[in-house]
Amino acid sequence: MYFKKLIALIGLLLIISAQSYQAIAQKLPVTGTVRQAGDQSPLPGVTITEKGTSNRAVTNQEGKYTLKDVSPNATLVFTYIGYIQQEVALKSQLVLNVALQESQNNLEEVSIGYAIQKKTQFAGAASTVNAEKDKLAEIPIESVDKMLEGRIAGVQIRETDGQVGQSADISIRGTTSFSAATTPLIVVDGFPTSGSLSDINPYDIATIDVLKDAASTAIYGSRGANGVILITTKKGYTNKAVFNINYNTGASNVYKYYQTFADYQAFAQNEYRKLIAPWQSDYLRAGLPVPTSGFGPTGNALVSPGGKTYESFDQYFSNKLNPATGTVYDVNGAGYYNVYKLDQIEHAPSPQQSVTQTGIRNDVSVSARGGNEKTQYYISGNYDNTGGVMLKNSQQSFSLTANVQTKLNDHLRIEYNFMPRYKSIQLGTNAQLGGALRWLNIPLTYDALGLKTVLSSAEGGYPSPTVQVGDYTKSRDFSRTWLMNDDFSNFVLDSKGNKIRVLTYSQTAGTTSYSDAMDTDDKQSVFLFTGNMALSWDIAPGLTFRTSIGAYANYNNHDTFTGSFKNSAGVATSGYGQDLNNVSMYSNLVNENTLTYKKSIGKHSFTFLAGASGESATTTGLQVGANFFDNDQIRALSTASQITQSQTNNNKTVETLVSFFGRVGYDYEGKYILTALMRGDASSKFGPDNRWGEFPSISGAWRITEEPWMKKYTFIDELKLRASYGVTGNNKILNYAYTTAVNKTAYTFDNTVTTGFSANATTLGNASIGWEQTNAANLGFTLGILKNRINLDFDVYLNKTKQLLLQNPIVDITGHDFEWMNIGKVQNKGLELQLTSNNIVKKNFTWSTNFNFSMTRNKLLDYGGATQQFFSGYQLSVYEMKVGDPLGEFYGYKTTGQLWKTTAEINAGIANGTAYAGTVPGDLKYVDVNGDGKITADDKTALGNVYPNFTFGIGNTFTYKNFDLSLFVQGSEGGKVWNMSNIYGNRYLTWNNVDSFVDEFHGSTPAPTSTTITGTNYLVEDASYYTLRDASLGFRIPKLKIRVYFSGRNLIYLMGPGYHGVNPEYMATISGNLIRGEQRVTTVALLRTYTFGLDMSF
Amino acid sequence: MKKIFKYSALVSLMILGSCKKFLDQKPYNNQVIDNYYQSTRDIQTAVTGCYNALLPIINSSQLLFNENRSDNATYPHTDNITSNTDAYYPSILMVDISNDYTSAYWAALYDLITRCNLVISHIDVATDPILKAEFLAQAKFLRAYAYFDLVRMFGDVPLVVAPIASADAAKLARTPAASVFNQIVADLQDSFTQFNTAVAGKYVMQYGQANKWAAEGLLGKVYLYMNQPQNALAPLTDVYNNSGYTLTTNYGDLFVVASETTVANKEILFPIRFTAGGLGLGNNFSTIAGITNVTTFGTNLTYYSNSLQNVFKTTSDVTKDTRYPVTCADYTGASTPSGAVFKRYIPKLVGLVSDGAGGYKADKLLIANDGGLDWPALRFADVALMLAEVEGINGGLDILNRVRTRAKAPLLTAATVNSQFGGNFQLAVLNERRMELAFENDRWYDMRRMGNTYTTSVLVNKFTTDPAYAAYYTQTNALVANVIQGNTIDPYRYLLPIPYDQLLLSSGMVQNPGYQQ
Repeated sequence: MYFKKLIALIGLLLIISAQSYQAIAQKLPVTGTVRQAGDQSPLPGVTITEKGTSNRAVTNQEGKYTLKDVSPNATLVFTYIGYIQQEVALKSQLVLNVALQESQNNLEEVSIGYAIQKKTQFAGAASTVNAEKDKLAEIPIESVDKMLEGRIAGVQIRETDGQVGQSADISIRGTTSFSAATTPLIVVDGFPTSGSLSDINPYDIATIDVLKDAASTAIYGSRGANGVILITTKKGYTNKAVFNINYNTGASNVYKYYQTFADYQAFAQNEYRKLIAPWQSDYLRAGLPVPTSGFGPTGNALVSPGGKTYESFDQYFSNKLNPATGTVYDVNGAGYYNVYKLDQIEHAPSPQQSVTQTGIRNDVSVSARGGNEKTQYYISGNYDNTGGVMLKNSQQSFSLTANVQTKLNDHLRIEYNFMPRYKSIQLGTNAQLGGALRWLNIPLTYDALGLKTVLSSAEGGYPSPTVQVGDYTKSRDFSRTWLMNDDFSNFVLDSKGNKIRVLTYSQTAGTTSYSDAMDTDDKQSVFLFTGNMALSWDIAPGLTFRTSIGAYANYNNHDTFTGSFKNSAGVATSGYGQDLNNVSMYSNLVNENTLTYKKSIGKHSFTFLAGASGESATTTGLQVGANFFDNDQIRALSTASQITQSQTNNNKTVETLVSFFGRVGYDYEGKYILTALMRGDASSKFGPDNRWGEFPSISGAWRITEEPWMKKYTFIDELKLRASYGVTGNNKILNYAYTTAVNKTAYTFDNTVTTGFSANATTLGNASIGWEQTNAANLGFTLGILKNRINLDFDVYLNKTKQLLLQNPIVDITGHDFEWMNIGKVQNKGLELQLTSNNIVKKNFTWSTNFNFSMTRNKLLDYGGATQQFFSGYQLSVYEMKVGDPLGEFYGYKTTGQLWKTTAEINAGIANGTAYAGTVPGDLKYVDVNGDGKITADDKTALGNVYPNFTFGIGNTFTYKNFDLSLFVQGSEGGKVWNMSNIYGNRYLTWNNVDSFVDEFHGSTPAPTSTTITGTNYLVEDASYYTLRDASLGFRIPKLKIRVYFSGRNLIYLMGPGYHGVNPEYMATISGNLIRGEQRVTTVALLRTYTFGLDMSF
Repeated sequence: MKKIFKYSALVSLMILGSCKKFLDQKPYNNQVIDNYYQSTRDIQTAVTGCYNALLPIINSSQLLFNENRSDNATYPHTDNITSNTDAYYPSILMVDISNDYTSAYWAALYDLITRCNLVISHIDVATDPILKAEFLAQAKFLRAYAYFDLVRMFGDVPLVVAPIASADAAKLARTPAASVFNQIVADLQDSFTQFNTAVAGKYVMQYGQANKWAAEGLLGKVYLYMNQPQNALAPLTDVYNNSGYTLTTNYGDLFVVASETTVANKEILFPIRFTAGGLGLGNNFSTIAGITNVTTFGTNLTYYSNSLQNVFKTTSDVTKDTRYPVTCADYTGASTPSGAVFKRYIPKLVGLVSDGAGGYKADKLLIANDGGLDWPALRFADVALMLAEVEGINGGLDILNRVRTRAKAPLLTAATVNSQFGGNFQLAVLNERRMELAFENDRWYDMRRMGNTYTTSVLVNKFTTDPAYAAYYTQTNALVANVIQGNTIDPYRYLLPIPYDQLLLSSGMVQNPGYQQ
């Protein structure tokens, strides 16, 4: 249906535009102005060509042009990068004004590594993000990687850590490795850098191209094995200087906290009353019938067999609860204090809020660009200060950029890029939402009702005279506070002298997340330097030699100071401050030399490339640990009375890579395109016999629209079939992994600490490890219709990675935990779709859409002959490597949702094999997966995995007169996560019974009483999400050349059903291997941001 | 153009030539195992490396599995309930198969075994016969020490006596405990022989190294656990009469860091030596056994039970017995709502210093997990009491009383053996061992070698009578109800589970029965 309408529409358009030509012999000059279709601002630099001739002109600063000697019946072609090419028949006009529409599919050229290729000739799979179109600069986040979330098909970017100042995780086209890093190569203006996307000032970026298939990335060899992200920075124009100033300011807050009992709404919705409450487990254990109400006939609270007084949840949430005040009345009308309802005590923040903050952002950017025929420049400066939502988390950065291109003479060109950046990052490592719940103590609650804190008598007795009403208790005060336990039946008095039971969870260390965060400083000063220079020499027509030298350096001073109060187990003892200071310097030098030759013979065009490159990366580090600072204010290491030898060390590692490469490109009439390349890499990471890897690739394209027989389908502007196949290699593992280290150890004999040596107990080296190798095939097409108003790119791919590098866990009997191996074979296949469409293009109103969609399926094909292997994660989270299944499938028991209720039932279960010996009442029942009537280890099964079924992003941009609106919606469906924070919730209920502040997170399923929920699907939750990731509303004040905008991030965020965490994208720190999907109580909250900004150009 | 190609070919050749050098990168921070075992000196440092592996064995919270499971300790403070169930559950015999401490303990023991195996398999590098004997003797002693712990805690364990490839190790089944014991005996006998050779060569032993007496004393102990007291008699007698080791004058002197190499070394045959000062060689039992009010960093994960206190009260004299104040100490700085249990700690594990009044007090911990006190892995009093047990009341009572004399406890007589222990002298010795060796990781093993019935009766008594369960910690009591079924405890709980992650990786091992598979 839709297609028919489309054809009809196209036909109509053709008829309307059908014109007759008038033949006039005389040639005349034509003048006019070229403007931008949107705001009608003049466009300088547009090329106007008389079709079929070499007659051309360029618009000046006012967008004006004059093209001389034009045939009256000529057609003029207007081209400008980033805009849709327009052809206009002159029809004897002498003045021709044109408005160019910005192109969605804007890049006419794509960098393919050591060369630029017209996008039309490109046969690989690539995606492009245009910084200006996608309004990257308006996304209120501190680094480029996070800005790109969901914007590129096939590229998965996840904020696995969640804190401001921490890099996001990027992977392209699925998980191809167990242990080797899957970080793509970043190439800035043609220079490969070892840095990450977060090292680049977002304002400097013009476009970002992502090369995804092996044939496109193979020219970068091993460095490009995980895909290549090409950053093109803004460049100077060949006209007068343009200045730009952008300022924005905003605030972030927490999108979601863990639900607690204090949240009455959620609690009621969860229909908790229908469940077996954990407090009832005492009855279950004793084999007694569970009372239906916690109150006896006289209104007295029932006493459990364990001797504890319980009050039924039913009672709380009956009509006797006054939700407005949080007061519960008993049957005699006397008010209880509902201690679960801290939120409802006026001004009382939840414990979680004690460790979060409003993140404030201020960002200012200035830039200038300009130039002349010979030299173009772009310079910029940026200051950014972004606060995170976790207490103390923030990043400040200061960046300078300069890039200059100049022609020395007709043969020599120089490019010069210089991008220093300074970042100061403070992490709120100890500020933990879950931790705040766990470590809840009275002093953390706001004292609006006159709650008194209780000190031990050694500290002045009870109640405390030192804490003022309305104060948070700081860690110092807190450390002197008695930690009360409900077993001791402690209470505090409210302002009316009523007793309020004190509900605490405490631990011996005597600190809370809040005090931990306040008493700890985790600071990094980072100085980044990216600089490079290249000289190009046009030796002969078509023959160019280019040599470049690039340097990337990352200096990081990471200082973690633990205050004396946190460090001394919460005891008010000065002089116990502790510091760990790590200074590291990473530097990478790259030299590349290439020779390119272009030659056309008739309809045949050839390009040749030969090159060699060498690279050397050195990491040096110096770490000093120190103890016993005189006080917490002076942190110079010289004031510490002990340097901790076990934490003090220096290290140095060097990694080198040598490469040779060659490429041949062939093009017949721009119709048939073929490229073949070969690259050889040698890496110092492998033993002498396994260093060299060879990586060939081939790609081809057929531009069907160039065929004469296609010319009649005029509504199709571009139809291209693309195919490629190539081999890439990955070596991104630790240096020296092929050796087993023998480390220095020590032992004391007599009174002397004696040096010893012993093999590294963690990892066994393996001299035979070598390159991990991916064979990748890509098939796709590009379609452009309706004068390229609608563009579609569709790709399918099949990647097989073999000899995966892995720190394979081995039995401890060997004396080691892991061994390096090349093991197994993994397949990733998927499809990607990218659609851009200019739906409505009117003078005052435009609407454009871009849409991307990707699916990846991942499968283990071989595991070194084994059929199954396991990795254990946190607690009983287990990841399975099973041939035929995705990597890291969660593994464990499925639960039936029912509980073991009585000892008699359990004994019967043990007898018939459906329960194991340690089962206690309240444990969950397991599903008998293999149906043999017994519950055994064979009943463990796959429980899901982290990989989403699909991900997508839809951006819509509207302009109306001077207003513009961009909405970017993004989603991920079907990924799972081990939500280990549930363990804590559960344990709280188990132990603290009714006195828990923490919801057991599972509203609609039973609340089991024991730790047997670990390792079962009880903890596996849906990590899907749909979000209005970015939204921006702008208004242009034409006369002032100022644009003001409001933008927001994560304004709407929908989480998967059954997800009980606070941030589906978060993943706990990965150690050992990359295949992990866990969330714990350390999960960092999702942030929601609002920003106001203004942008000025003159 | 030709010129260009010529030059680039030349450049390429130059690059290729220097390539190998450019690509050969060696580690800067450490040596590489392939070229490590080259000289006598290398073997010597490797032996030192073996000793280093002893530290994490003690620090992997052995106390939690030994003393905390015995009647010497009760359930630790409620502070630990929710934050650290892995540390707390063993005390009520509910060890999860994924308990972090069992994994660490298992790994640490096999790390020591591996280091010893590497030394033994490369021993021929040492050409000096005296040094070779010395190194071999130490490595075999340490290997036996590790297996002795493994087999007592886990039951059957895979027996590895040479470096093993990971693929082979994954297929290993658990060797029956009896065979493991035989290997331990063989290793200790060989160790003893080699030590004799070394001593004949006038090798000067340093305090901290194993020696022939340690090997012989441990051998006697192993025979006791093999239930072969007749074999234990000779080695224990030899050590008792001929080793030169003796009891220190004061019991407390054994636990004073400052005089370890001058006083305690007279009694301790084999210390595991910890050193404070941020060297990474400190102990954590000082942290586990301390209490915040007294020792700054105490986490109170282990503390004495009423039962242990009662033993001192009923079978000794708490006003005179010098062992009592350093074993069972209370913090008296403030009264607490809970009364008795909250403030207990064990000074002898934290480390003792003079209190200025002729007695001792617990050292103040300078920093968490960095205690300097040695672990008395084998000491003369232990040997003496084992000998007393083997000899029976006739020869044994005097030996037992030698220990009591040093402790300034009233002497035991045949009459008191009758009245207090029903005339069963072995129970009297066990009782003495409980007091003398409290919190030195012997009590649980002693209970175990007396059999399941004895162990169960002791534990049922502890759980049902100690007020810590009945009165103070009702939540724990509720859990204990799962462990005690009627008046019985399923004996599977007495062995630790094989760490879950290890079972997953192994095709040869099966879990101890009773635990979740």
